Amino acid sequence: MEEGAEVVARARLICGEQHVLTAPTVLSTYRSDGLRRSGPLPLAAILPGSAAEVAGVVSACAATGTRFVVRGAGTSHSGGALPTADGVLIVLTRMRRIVALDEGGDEITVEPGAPPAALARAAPARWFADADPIGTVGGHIAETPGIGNVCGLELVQSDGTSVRLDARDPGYGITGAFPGSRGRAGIAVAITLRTVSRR
Amino acid sequence: MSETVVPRSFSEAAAALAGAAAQERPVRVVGGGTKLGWGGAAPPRALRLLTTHLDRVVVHDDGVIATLNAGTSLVRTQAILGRTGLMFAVDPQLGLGRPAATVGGVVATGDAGPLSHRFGTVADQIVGITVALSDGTVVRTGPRSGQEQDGYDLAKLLTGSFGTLGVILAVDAHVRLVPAETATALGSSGDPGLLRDVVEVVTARHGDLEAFDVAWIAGRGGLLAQLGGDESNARAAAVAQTMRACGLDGTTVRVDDAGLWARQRAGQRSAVRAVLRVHTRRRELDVVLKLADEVGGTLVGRAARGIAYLTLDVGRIAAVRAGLPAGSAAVALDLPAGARGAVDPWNVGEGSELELMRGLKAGFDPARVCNPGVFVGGI
Repeated sequence: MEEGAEVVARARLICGEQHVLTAPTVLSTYRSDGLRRSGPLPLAAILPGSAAEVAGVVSACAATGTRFVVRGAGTSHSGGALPTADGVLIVLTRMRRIVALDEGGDEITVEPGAPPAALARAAPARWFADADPIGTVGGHIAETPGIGNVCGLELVQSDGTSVRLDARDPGYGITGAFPGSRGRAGIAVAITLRTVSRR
Repeated sequence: MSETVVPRSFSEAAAALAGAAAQERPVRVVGGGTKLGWGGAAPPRALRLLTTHLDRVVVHDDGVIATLNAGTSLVRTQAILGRTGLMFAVDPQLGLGRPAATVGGVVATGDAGPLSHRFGTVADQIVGITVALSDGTVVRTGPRSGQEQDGYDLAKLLTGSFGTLGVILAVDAHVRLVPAETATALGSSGDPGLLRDVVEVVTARHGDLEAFDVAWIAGRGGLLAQLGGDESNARAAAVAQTMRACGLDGTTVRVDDAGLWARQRAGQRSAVRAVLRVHTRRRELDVVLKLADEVGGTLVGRAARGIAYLTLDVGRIAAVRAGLPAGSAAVALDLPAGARGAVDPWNVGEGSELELMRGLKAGFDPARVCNPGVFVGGI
């Protein structure tokens, strides 16, 4: 069987045929990052459309022993978005919904592929202290240590299981420690950010 | 009587921890000893590792970061930083008697005070950490370590971890300028809903507050908003005007305000009753104030951060937890003698979040020697 065929087949069942890309000409789009460095062609670029699909794809990777790299818009300068030749890319740019905006706009929950501009559109009277103008919210948080306004996360862990975290809950400060973890602490499939008033 | 070790260096602390791990002997880390009653009970035969000889403060040349060794008392830390007009912007109550709280104890418990309105949580002040792990290694993280973050930000993860992942030896922390002068605007009301609404207005209009607290007792309370720096008196008068326009009574400005804030901090601790640290959404302040009345409690807290310290009788803790809005948390900090063991201080149920935390504990401290049993879910 061709390398990666099984995980690709599983991913197509989970995400749909059109969201699992394997053609080399198409995959070349996903080889580079914000510094235009080129990595190898991955086995596939998989674009899940929901948290459940991310969990399913990660489970498929775990079951088939396939390495994966998680990617947003691929604008980082750290190399964190570059694929490996023996793995797949999980690309989160289809997941760009605003999930919730609480009364008064103190907190907003978004999917990781949402562009930062979507935050300002959803809550124009609020300000996002650590928002980067480019890329995706998820990519920015995964690649930037010290971001202080993450107050909730839904994570898909490396075995495909999910966990919800709220900064108000007692326990280890995982929501605060997550920014800058570069995908090594799980995939954030929903991110709640604390906002401040735009004066 | 528990055996005690008092390391004089990071390597001595790491060696003591590794030695205890080799003997499968739990270690209880102790700083000033002002919060030993918080969390679950430590095993009775635990080795006490006293950090108080790890007491050094170094302000780096950039003038914005200081390395604070864990055993340094907060009083001494602020005195040293204060010589050059600086402070560590973390101001909890420093103890029930002696103000003996140490940097390590405050970081380990995430304990904070009124300045968290402007500067955020303790974790927000910490950019790097030096920690001894139970395998005897000493790990330093953060910008001054030369190490890139690989996975979780350890400084954030260990802050508030109650010493269950390793022994905190030092932190690299932001230092801030002490304002040359301060003034505090005050206003009061017996209407919880009005106080909630005024918090919203003041927060939106006055983004330059150093501290913004609420105090509540027996159906009446007030807001305290501190301004610092240039023209603080005039700026406080503007805040008082906002409070007055919103309908608060007795609005005034106090320039000599240190006593006001000392009372707020003191309200976070109790030697005879229970203290619950309640965390809700900011807009739920009125719910918490009404609950305080229902259970005969008194309350101080951060008006705009959704954090309140509710002093009450132990028997009313369950009623508070049942009455809080969904998504809130209520951690029991101080409990009177005899009540420990009868109340779960954490109130965290089984689930994937707790499993993740147990996995972290197992990864950092596989020998399970660092403060075992004191944290959520018996971690």
